[in-house]
Amino acid sequence: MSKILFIIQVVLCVSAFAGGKINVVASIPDLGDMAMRIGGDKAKVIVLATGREDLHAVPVRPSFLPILNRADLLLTLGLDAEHSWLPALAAEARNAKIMEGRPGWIEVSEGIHVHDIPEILDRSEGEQHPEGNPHYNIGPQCGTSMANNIYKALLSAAPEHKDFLRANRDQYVRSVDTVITSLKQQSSALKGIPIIGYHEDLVYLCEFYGIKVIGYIEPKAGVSPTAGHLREIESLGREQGVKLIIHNQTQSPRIPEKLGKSLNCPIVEIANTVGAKKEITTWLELQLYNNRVLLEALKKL
Amino acid sequence: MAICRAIQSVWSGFCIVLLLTALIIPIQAAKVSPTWQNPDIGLTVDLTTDMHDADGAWKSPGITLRGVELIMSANIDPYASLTGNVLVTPNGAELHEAFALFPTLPLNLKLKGGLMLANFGRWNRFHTHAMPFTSEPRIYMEYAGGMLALKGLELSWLVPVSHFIELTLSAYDRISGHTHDSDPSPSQSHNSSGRTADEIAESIGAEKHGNHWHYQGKILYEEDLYALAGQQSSLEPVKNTGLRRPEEFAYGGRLTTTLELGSNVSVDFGGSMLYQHAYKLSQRIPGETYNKLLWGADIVFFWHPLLANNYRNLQVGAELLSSYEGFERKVVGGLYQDKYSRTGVHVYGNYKHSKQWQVGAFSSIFQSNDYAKQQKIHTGAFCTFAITHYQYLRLEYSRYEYPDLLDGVNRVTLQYDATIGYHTHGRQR
Repeated sequence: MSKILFIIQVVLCVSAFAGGKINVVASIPDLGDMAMRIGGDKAKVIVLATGREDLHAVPVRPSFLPILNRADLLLTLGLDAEHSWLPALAAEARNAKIMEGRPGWIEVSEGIHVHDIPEILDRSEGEQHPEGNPHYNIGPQCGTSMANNIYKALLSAAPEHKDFLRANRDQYVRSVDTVITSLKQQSSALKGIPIIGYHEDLVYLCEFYGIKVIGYIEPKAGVSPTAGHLREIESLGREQGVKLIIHNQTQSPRIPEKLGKSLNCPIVEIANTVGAKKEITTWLELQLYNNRVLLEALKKL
Repeated sequence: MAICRAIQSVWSGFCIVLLLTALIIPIQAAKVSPTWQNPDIGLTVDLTTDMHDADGAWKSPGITLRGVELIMSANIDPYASLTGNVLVTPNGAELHEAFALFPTLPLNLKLKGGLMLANFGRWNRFHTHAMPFTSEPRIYMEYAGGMLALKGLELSWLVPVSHFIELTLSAYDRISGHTHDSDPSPSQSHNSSGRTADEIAESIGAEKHGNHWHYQGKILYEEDLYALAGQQSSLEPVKNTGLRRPEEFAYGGRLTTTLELGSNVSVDFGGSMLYQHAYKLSQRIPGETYNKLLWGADIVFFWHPLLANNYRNLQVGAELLSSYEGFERKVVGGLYQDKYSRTGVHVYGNYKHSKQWQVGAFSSIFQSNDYAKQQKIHTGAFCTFAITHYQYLRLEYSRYEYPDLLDGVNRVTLQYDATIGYHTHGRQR
């Protein structure tokens, strides 16, 4: 009996420290796509959200727990983007490595120039993100920083694969640069156009294209619009000659459509994560998709 | 041989220490702020006002402050967190939860110890204000005396397979329910054998709150009121609250799993049981005890279309709760131990139509927890308007068809809830 126990203990010890693939879990497909490209066959990547849902309120399914239980790294957007669902889930997963604040909980926002850091933190200002706007994943300019952060996380988990990971990162960053150059060349028509957004999640996208946001359908982030606010935004839109009304796949199109009709301007449904539309399977495709729908909408004017 | 054994022993000890060290990784502080030593604090106000026709005419008790829930929580150290939940009412404060949680023990285990909402059934772990309806499910009130806020230990094991299965084993000091909800009842009148608990409470100025009364900073249950009045309620067995042997405590468990049908639909299943061998003590036969077994099964269907998850979803659930309880049956010339078995079911549906509006309905059909085994029905419908994520208004209509309410009673309740600060219920669906 003691010999069997001895063998079991040795096997357990060996398996606990055996260097296999890095188990990576990503909160949204954007991060999963980058991790797959940089990690290659050294990483096993599982993504929790499909990309179709609002990333602030991903329906928490119990099947996420066994996945998180085995994770070495949990890639998150950070800046409290996933605060309503992911920290509680990670705390339940019986995996000390990836709980919020621990070494395996990776916030990919490091090095991003963060916008909208609130000066006043108060619930009367709506559903605020105290550390700033977390929707940087739709800004093409943020791709390189995101890729670098994911590379650093993978490297910390498997330093023995440094050369492999660095080569993949470099190759990916080159493809990001190529796409950025192409997007900039195609999108000069978007520069300076006034738009109305639904939620304060367009800032990085608008920064890249030079689009001017004159207001939002939500009076404050996360607060449903009132009739009074809609009248105000309609009047502002008319005054400033708004060209587009932009919402994303998770927001009900009812109010944007109504507003668009009254302001006589096109509605654009952008994608705010990879997976939001069937044809968007990578982060680079996400950027190309948003560029295309914005330009197509502009042609309708 | 002896040397071999010695090496094996040392190696065994080394392996165990190594494994435990690998599995318990201390927390590293992620963000530094000037308030880093402060715990997370949240405060929720739960107000209701209702009208019912129990006395024939529609009457209202006015505004009821069901509670102001003050929650504090923070990590104690790298290994555990501590949560305290105090419910403040105009009549005093009640400690509702005070537990330490060790979330990442080796072997996929999690330990919770202290006073907690027991991991039992579908709704027991929910704070009342977080339920989709205003009325607490009546099956808990009937068979457990309210929601089970118990002192004890819960050890949960996440089964290490790719499918979600969680098993919880628990030990509590006793089976005891607590509620701030109550059924409307016709005015009580004196009877020849003594005063009712309500009458005793009224005479001493104790304020009723659900299934208990607040009096001079203390919480009194029915038996406490009778004792205070020097009046014995009856010679029926009483709850075992004194010193007990280990086998007289309550023991139970819960098993939960889920079935996912694509990414829009999932079904949760759960089964729970709780047993106390010496739940009640006989007043007629010294040393005689009576046991109680609560068991239940629950199923919840979720539809959460991913594209509209923020403003549209549906959940439909059913929970079965059964109670087996020993009692003393009086017969001519003596008495003997008997048992009765009672069962009830609570079904509900809740549809979220937009970010602000939700509608739903519920029905509890259950046998009365007494010798008579009469059928009781509590059915209702509700509509919730969420002003924002942090405050809501809810209107609920319900009808009680209880044997002692001859024509049935209709009740309309308006509920207002608001939360400030940090208030989370962990992983709840």
